[in-house]
Amino acid sequence: MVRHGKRGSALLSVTVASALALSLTACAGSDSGSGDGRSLTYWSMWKENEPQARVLREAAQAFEREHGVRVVIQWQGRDVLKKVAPALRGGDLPDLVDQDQALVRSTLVAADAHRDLTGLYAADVAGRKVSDVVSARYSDLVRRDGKPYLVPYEVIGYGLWFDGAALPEVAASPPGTWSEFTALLSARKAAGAAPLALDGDIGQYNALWTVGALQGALGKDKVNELARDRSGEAWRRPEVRAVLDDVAGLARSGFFAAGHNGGKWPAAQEKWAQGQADFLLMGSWAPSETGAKARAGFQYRFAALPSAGRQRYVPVESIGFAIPRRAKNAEAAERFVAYFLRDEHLGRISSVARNLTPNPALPVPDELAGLAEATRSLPLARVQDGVAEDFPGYVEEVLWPANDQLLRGQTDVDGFLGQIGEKQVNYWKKNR
Amino acid sequence: MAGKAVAAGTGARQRPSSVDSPRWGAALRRPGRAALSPGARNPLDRRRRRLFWPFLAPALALYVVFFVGPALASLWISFHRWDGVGEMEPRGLENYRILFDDSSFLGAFANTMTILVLVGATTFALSFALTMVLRDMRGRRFVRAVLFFPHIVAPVVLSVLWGFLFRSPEGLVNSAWRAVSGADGPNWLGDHLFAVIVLGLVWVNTGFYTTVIMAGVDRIPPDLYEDCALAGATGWQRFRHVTLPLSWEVVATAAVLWTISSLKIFEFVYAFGGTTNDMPPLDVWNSALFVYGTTFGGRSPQYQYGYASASAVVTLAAVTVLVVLLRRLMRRETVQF
Repeated sequence: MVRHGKRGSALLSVTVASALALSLTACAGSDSGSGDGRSLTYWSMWKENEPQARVLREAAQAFEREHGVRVVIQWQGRDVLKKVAPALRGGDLPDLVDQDQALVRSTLVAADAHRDLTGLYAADVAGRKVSDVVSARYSDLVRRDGKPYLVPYEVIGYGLWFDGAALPEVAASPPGTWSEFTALLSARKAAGAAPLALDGDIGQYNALWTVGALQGALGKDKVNELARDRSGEAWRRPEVRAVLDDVAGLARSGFFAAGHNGGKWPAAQEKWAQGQADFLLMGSWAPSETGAKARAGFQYRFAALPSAGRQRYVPVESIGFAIPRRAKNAEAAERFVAYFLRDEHLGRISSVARNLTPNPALPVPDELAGLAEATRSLPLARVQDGVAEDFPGYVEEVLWPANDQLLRGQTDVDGFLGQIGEKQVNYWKKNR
Repeated sequence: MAGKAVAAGTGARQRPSSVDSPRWGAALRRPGRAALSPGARNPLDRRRRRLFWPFLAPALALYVVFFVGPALASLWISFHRWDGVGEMEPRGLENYRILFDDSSFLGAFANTMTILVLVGATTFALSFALTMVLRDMRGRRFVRAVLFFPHIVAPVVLSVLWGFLFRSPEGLVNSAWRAVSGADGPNWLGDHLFAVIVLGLVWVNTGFYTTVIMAGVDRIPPDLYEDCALAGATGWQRFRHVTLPLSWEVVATAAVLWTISSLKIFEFVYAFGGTTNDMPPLDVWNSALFVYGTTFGGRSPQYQYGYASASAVVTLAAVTVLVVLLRRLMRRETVQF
């Protein structure tokens, strides 16, 4: 009896434990959203202590006071969409998420799990429409099949940054063409300065040079076409080769400050902020990221990357809100987004978080004034010509490995073409 | 006694089974099932056997749910194209066909094998060397703890430290190099990143395997070494005829342990080679990073679960074969002492 009792209880305990475990998983898998529109869940890409988080949190509190809808925010950090992705198949989804357009596109939009935000663009923002607040220059870049999947609230722009106090003549008339640019770099080098700062261990920073130069020479969306070519042969066209040679020339001529090959981020950008190099090609986070290290009197100035061809572009990337298709409180989420776009909230992305907004009528931080002007006067393009968002994995497996070597001077244009061709064929074989 | 030591010391090829001393004789008595079965009749063993399943079942259930199940699921997924969200689309063996032609995967697989063989061999050689040095050293417990230290520290911290050491031109290693030789040192991170990663992995793992091997070597009775000393055996002869055979079981187990854990090496390569938002460069990926890179790694993740599963299955199969071969190669009669 005792024996059976013991075995019975042991088995029972195992069974109960398993049942408990299963029921717990079942709870986790079920949808807990009420869908009553009284509250909404927002998974944010920011961490709680970042200035953007403060702006969003305070807007959410104001929204609750005015509209009685509670915004439950979870500060997920940059990997927010990696947490959303597994929930798309089944499980709790937030009603609202935010990230940059590339990640939203490659995660939510690629899985066809996003909500079409056409209706939201027509929503009211204190007497105007969302489409009046968010400049079409940005919203046009966040559409699939003509329908927007994102409402931008912060804009990152890319280009050359330099110290206006150290280079006043450049600030007065920045170089427009590639030859003016290289002439300036040569002169600076001859004067004993290190012309360019580059943290070459970051593949994207290297690619900004190559893709930026190609965009200028060939026009926007052309690099995207080169990447789309299944044979990889398109890269061998003479006009492409000429630009690649211009880019390789930067390394050949020794324009990059020591450490661009073999250093560790953020060594190069910090040296630049201390005045040990002239130009830094980077996104609009450059002033905030290097500000603490900048030497006294450093004046952040922006210039669009000079063009190796006819046109200069400002590559941009929007950070904004997206709504999963299965969101329980999508309407409430849309109301919050429209509410956040009011000047008193969106304006704080500029005044508190020191970034550009997609509303050109709002004031901009001093250090980004040059960038803001460039985004108004020059045509915009997608950063890295959109290859990262349109072809996931392409930059890591195809573009960067070949391009890193070109920028480091470890290979020439022929070596680059051989490598990128082989890797691109390989990429499309697995992604067809 | 002296005779045996001389036999060991002179390098005569000697299998423990050919020695008929009482000590070796005892070594050959291996407990088999027959030895246990009479005991099963006593009440204690009966009760033990009754408790066998209740004790085993929870662990077994967890193992099946969290290891065997996912492994089988990976095999199933590897025959499909799947983004993790939509429906799985059957692909047959297509994933495998592409895989064997994919230079990214082949490069990652080669790196995995390099880590397995090169880092493994170097780590074991160093561990043995350190064991021999430490055996007779004063303060060896302290030294062992110091050696073990890199294994405890988070790989992310190590990778930051190694970044400071090896970056050029201002890294510590190259500064020292310049101070000594007057010339600029190698461009470690720019031109030899994988070599530095290999070096780092050896450094991280040597302490752990030294500790494991030392535990085995410590069990060897000191009088055997005294015999060797009397017979005038050299250090190498001592190692070849006493240390190695008598710690063989431990080494064989450690070798299997390394083979399996080397597959899973991820953080050190990821943290050391990568940057804040990015994967490390393609040419230092190993199989684990390849799986990550084809699923949710990188700036815009690929979410190719079918393809990544295929690569994981291939790596698992290769390593299973290696482990079986290794076990066969290292199989020896157990020596008890």
